[in-house]
Amino acid sequence: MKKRSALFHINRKNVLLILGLTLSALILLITIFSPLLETHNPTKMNLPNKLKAPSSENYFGTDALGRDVYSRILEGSRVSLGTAFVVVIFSAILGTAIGLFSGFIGGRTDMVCMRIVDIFLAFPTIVFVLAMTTFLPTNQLSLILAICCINWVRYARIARGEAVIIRNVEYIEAATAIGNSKTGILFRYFLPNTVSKILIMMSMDIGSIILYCASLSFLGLGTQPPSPAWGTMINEGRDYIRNAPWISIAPGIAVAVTALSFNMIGDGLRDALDPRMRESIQTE
Amino acid sequence: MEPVLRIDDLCVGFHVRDRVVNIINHVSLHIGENEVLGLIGETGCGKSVTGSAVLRLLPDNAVVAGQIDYRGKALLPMSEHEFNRLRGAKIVSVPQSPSTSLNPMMTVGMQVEECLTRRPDYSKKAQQVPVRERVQQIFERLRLNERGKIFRKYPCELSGGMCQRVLISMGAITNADLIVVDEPTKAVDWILRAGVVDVLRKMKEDYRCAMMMITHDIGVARALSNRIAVMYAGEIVETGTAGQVLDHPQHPYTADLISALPENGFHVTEGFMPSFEEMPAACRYQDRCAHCVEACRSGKPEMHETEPGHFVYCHRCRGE
Repeated sequence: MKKRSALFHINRKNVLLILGLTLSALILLITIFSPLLETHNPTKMNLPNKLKAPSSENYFGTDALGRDVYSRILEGSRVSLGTAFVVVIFSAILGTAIGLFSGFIGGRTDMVCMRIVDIFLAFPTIVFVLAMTTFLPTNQLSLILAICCINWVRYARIARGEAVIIRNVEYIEAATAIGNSKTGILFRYFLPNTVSKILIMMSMDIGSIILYCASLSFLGLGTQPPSPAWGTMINEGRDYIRNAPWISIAPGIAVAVTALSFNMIGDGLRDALDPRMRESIQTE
Repeated sequence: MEPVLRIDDLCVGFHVRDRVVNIINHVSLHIGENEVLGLIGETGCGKSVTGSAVLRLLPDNAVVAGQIDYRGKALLPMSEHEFNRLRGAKIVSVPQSPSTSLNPMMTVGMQVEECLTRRPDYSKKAQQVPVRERVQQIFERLRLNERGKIFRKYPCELSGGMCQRVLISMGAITNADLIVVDEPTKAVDWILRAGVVDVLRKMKEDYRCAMMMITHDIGVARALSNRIAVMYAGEIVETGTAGQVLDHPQHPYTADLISALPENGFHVTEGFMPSFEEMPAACRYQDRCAHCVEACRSGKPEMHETEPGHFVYCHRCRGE
């Protein structure tokens, strides 16, 4: 019996994870090396060359100002993915900290925290972010801030739910009995038992944050032209959708593929991080 | 000789909404050096609560009165910090339900190791034998070796009996001298039960520790205990050596408990244990007892010593 890491042992159950990881890794690599892959300057206008269909010169055609769509998508990936990662990491840290603490302490603290979370949950994300950005200057940072402000509650909810379950399991009592301190239990027992859920949530969230960012920049918030965010590009292509559909379709596909691949990681992780899975893999 | 553990007049109640429901009513017990006290009784009679009271693991809404002395030191007035030096080192627990008492995200080896490394007085330099070595030794002793592989296994990869032995090794590794074992055979089948009994017996002989063994398995209690205390509805009804209590039960409840065993014909006593919220004032067994007399309904039974070391709380034993 050869022992292999469960995550990378391909079987029917984690094919989603492998596929998601491969795609996402590819997307990340493309994002990191985008300056090398760009064939044109993404912000340089070339009016005589406008609205060209995809060709060997312009892989995804050109837009109304003659800019190369392919290069702009590559450039936009840095904005979109960067935003998504920052938002997800910050809201996960904030939400997990508040949720775990709330569930761990319990009682009145828990009640107050969770009612605050409920208030935030009552707002539709888009509406909340729209409202927030009204008060903030229109730039990428405000967008990140606004999404973080509402997105953390989802993590808080999950972390708190997990903490409440864990609090009543016997191994916490056993941990107290062998001499662990309260903070020790919080970090060594509560956190590791919650992390898998949070990780799953994070990878699913990256997909939806990319979509949110795209929707918001489509609505004219966040990234400002000429900086090429995917959502902004879709918006710009709207006027030419009949005679030059590639301007919108190409960034649309980029958003869809990216969101899908991170969602696949999320689904795959959910199965793979369950310690009960390891058994079946090792006994093969 | 000073007993290892002496419980005097222990009362435990729980705040439920705005009242206090009494669960443990004036329980007194003592456990001597290298002695196993079996605490038996039906489900919900307060055995585990007594054990948790000794370990101070009761929930926050518990009210505890009385005295618990460990080698002459009162445990209840101790500060949390002071008690933490004892709990886990000198007084340890082997929790019930092996499947949920282990952290699923930590390998069992790490968890056993934690019993040593999480102590407030632990220092790496002071260890003569490396901690990992000690864990391996204890696994070896409990026949959990499997060529050293167990150390890296997660609880879900082990069977219930193996988890139970891991829990026992967590109790044994600190060389404690008082171990509270809660329902060691609850989640194991008939064959493993024999294994667990062997392990516990070995532990008692090897480590010369005292044990409080909470169980409803009378067979296990007979096999392991020196003395047995029978509990009913939060009170001790009979204590004595294992032979005295199980072979010559004096209290009707003990007799009924023994005759309810499958090998004795499954004679289950009529009725249920009264609810803790409406407990009869006098003898708590009066409604189910076949020998109930007038005195049982009017006055609390007192302790009678029927033979040396055999104490019974029953009106019928008076002056016999």
